Amino acid sequence: MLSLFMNPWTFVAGAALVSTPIIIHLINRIRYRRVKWAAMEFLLKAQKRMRRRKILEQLLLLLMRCLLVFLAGILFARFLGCDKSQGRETRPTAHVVILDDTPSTADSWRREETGATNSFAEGKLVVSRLMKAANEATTLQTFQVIRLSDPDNPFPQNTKSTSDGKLEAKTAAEIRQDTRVSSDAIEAMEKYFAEFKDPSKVRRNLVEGLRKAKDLLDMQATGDTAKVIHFISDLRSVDWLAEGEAIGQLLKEYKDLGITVHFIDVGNPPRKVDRKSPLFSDNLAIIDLKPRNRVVAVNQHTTIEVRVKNFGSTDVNDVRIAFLLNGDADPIPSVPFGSIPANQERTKSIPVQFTRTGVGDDRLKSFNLITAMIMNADGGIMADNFRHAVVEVRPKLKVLVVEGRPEVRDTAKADSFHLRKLFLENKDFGGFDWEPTEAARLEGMDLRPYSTIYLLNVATLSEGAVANLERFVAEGGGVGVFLGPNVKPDVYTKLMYRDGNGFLPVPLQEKPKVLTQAQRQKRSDTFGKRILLRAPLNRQHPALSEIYSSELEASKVENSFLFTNIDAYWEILRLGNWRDDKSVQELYCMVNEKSILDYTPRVDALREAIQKHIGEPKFSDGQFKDLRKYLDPHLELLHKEAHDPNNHTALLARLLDQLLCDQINDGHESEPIFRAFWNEPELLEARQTAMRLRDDVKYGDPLYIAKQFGRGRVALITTDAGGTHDTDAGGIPDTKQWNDWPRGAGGVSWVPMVSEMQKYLSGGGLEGNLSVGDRFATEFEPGTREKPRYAKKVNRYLLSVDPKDGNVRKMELIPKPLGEQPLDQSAPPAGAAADAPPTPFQLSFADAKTPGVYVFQLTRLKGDKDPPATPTEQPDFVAVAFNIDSLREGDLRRANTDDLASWTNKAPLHTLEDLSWIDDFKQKPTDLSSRRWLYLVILLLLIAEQAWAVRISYHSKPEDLESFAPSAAAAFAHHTAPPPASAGEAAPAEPVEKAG
Amino acid sequence: MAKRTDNDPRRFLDPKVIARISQLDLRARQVVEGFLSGMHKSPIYGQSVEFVQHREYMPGDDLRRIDWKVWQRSDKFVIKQYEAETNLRSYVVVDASESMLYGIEKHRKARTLYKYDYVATAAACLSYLTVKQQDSCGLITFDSDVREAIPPRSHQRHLDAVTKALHVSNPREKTDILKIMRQVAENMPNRGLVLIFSDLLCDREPLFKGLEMLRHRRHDVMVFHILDDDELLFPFSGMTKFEGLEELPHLLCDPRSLRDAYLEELELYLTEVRRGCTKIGIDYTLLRTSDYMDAVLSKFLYQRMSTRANPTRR
Repeated sequence: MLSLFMNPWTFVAGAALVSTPIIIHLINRIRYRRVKWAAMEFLLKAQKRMRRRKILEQLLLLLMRCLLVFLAGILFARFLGCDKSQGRETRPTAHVVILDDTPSTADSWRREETGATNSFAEGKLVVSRLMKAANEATTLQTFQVIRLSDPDNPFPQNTKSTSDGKLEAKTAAEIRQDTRVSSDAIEAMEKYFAEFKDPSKVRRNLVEGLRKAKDLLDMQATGDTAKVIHFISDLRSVDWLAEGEAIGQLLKEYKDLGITVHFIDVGNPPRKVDRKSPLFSDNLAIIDLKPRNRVVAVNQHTTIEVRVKNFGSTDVNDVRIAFLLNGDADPIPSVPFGSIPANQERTKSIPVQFTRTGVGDDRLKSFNLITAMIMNADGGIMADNFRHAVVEVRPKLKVLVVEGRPEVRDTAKADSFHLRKLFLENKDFGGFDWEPTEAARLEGMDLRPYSTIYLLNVATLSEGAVANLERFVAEGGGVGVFLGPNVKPDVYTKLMYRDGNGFLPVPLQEKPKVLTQAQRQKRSDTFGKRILLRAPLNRQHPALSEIYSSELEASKVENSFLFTNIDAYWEILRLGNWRDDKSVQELYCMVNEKSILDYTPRVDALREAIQKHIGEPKFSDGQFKDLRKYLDPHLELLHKEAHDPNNHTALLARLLDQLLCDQINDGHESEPIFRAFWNEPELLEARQTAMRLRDDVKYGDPLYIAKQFGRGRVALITTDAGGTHDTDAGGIPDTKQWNDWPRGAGGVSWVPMVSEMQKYLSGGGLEGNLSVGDRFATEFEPGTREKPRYAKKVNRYLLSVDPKDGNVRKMELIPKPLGEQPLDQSAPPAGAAADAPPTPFQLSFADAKTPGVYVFQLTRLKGDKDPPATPTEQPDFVAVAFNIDSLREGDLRRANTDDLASWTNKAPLHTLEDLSWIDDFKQKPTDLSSRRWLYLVILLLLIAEQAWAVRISYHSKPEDLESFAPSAAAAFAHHTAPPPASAGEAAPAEPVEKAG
Repeated sequence: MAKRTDNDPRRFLDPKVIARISQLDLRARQVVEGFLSGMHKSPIYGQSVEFVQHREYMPGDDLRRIDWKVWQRSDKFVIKQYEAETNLRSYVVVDASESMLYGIEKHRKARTLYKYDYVATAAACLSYLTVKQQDSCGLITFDSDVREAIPPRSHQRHLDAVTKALHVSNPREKTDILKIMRQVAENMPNRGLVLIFSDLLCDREPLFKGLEMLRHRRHDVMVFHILDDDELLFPFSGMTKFEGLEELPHLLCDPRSLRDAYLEELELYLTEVRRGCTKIGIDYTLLRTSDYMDAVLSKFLYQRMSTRANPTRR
């Protein structure tokens, strides 16, 4: 009980004094004067009349006086409150502050007192206040700060330099000593913060910071040390929606461990109690800048895609994006984006050509830095108004072509005939260095100089060649595969598909499918597309998007599919694991060449199911009144055509499409809308049946399949590239050509298809949206134990521009050397044979703190299988663009207060408006004497007591006699005596006598 | 009110001045002389007999009062009536109970009059004045019983007996006021003017019955209701134990808290007494111990004159 008070004995005295008014009352009752009184009759009557009222009045007065004494006792005894944890306040405390310095904390505003400020600057001030408060405590206080962007380097550090310059971990005692709060420590902290004027560009997870903070606390704290984490952040919803649950879980664990976590919201404007979703600043950000190709030839046309998002709550008008190419604003004109509505994004593709390349020792110049920036951006975060991308520009793009029949390479029969013509002769394809080779040479060949490798009717590849290809693709290369008659399916399936682990997207069947003459005839008799886009979404696939971005181009391509004949191809199993592989996309397929009679029973069953439902009264009137007028003939037609063996499945597919369309015919106004019909719940199953049937009838075997493998891409065409084959060559009877796509009536689509395929394949290797702080890792060929492929040192360069300084239109791009780093190579797995091949070299980089392009220069060593002319050492480059994670950092919406309370298990949440809680860390135990309301209560009680005392007291006046006893007053007035003295002045009747 | 100087004989009307005079007879003389010297016309009617009216002779009338001259002229027996014939018999009835001694200590210290002191002085004054007017004056003092009863006389020596009787000791409580009034009435066989000096702190019903009984006996009754200033003002403060006189219970209280209610009760009482007296034709005068003595004397003389002017009132 006494532990609840700072001055317990004062409380004891106060408790004793509570009875003072009662004692005074009792003393007054003992100490009285005696008056012998004649007119007792009136006094007794008065007393009888007033007794109850007077008792109540006096009791109330007595109560108020006792309460006053009690409150005064509480005040002077300094009541700490009933919370038992209050008693622990004076324990030694270990503090760890997580200071959110991610880019979003650059959101700035203006303070009347201090001018411009931002969340980060306010956070630093809070840290300073916390530290100063802790410095006033009488117990041991330790204090460390983690910047969220760099949680591994707290201040003060937990490591120290040894005499030989190495870093070693401090002991627990050293940590406690170094983190002890003192005036010097505060000064050191302020110096440390002075180094960080602006927030970091690096984004880190909140959970990561919390985990690190707990580790630091464990190192700082001893036995009974209280542990406190201060999480200073702008508490944005994008972070908490992603990590709220995980943070909640972590906080539960911390609570069990006795760790208190305070959340301090330094966002602007401060959170209000009555507004659960706080206001936030508008912000416009470039969320993506993506060149179509990682590598392009000089003057090759390519595009850059830029995505801009308005994260604000109001529309932004006149958005314009400017581009810098290697720091120069002239080569790429700025692009207007017009108005971007609130919380929406806009994407535009910009055509670009590159002229700067580097050769020999100047290879670094081949990496062209493209910087996009928002012009006239007001407010929000500056850092996300810029974004960088890199494109490697080579004098010519090398395309390696591996043909299955090298002996006919230079003839019209060649598998590469049409492709070579296209790559070397078509003006739109300029800039390619066509390099034919043979399958046998692929093994051990340095494939890095090639942008794309085409396998045309290649029969088989060695394991080494497949591994080389796989590495090439994984590192960002592109491989296009055209399957011809020479292909050995088992090799493809076993080595290249490898149960889905290889780069080939699909396994092959045992033999190709060749259409019979009858099937060809039937196909020619049927009007319909012979190549179909497998899914509408494929229009946005990077291998096709350029075609479908233009309606005219798309129309040309789609129309040409009416006349494209694919007579032979490698059938792919419709069902299989590849269907579930998200990296595999079936872009085009062929029409179904099965007999229509294969689907007749399913058509009949569907018809019956539909007819069963439309017989119900519900579909006889109302909105379905005219339904049967159209539906019945259509079902009859479906039935009829499905039973005609001469019909092609394309006809059946078209009829099923019409059935599932909104309107069966051409959309006359009188036609009923079938959407409403199909949306009826009774027809749900029938509709799904119809859709499945339509897909089965409509779509044939896959023709064009794309796969993302590692950082590279693979395109597989299940037919050949238009080569002419001998009848015996592939063991395929009755045909010399597998298709007429490149040169027939359907050739219109061939050029754009191959063109886009080439762009798609050479566009791999882009590290989409790598953010500063992310880890970039890639592997390189290890070579052999005796002769490693690469030197173990990597030089690093940063390509960046700083548009804040001066004229952004004419900035010189100077690569900034970042020093060296080792090229790692992990140890071989345990139990590996002595002659087992070494593990690949690994380049890992996670130190990108500044947005820009990081170029890694490796030194490739000559290998045994390299041509003799190969230099002993030659530079090899990898360039990666790191940008701010503007998709998340640009979104300044702040987490809902209720949601925060739920995620943090109602952990204390403070705002900049009220930082008085920091005083708690002075460890001057807070008591009721610091609560203003107590003084107010005492004051009010005093006023009430006085008012009540006056109210019930007797303050006699001469006129009182007139009002209460006019007869007595008349006696004074009419007689010849002097006027009566005031009752208050009247002397007592007799001298005071003490009782007893 | 004009200020009275030290040479002014009327200064003795002031109770404070009177209190300095210890001898009651001297007090009475000083007061009355002082009182009379301030009047424009002497109210002493003396020995001269003034004719007032004739009245037809009634059997039983004193034959000596027949106006023979009228009989000579008109052969009718008429009686001559003179003022000298309306000789006043007054009875001063003084309450000498314990309640009349309220504040005796305080008043003695302050050299002022307490209730009994005041009424004793007033009684002496009236006796002196009456005797001086050659009327007869008797005195009855009572507490729980009639203590002294001095029959009316008009000679000067009678005053000594009166003043002597006014000295009381060991006062007792009033008990049955009706009984006392009956005894008073019995002590006053002839009708006359009854002057009652009392604080009337008794039950009202027997009081009014007693007074009514006096009226039935055709006495002119004047009630001088004396109360102490404290009783009228109730000026006490601080915890006080009121010890009831005349066997009333004690009460410990904060008098301030009860003052208003006390005054209201007092008002009810005074109103009741005044109305009760008025109802039965009694002249009621409320006196307080700080009143000048002429309040009593004026009232008496006024009553006396009205009695002489209107003898039928009897």
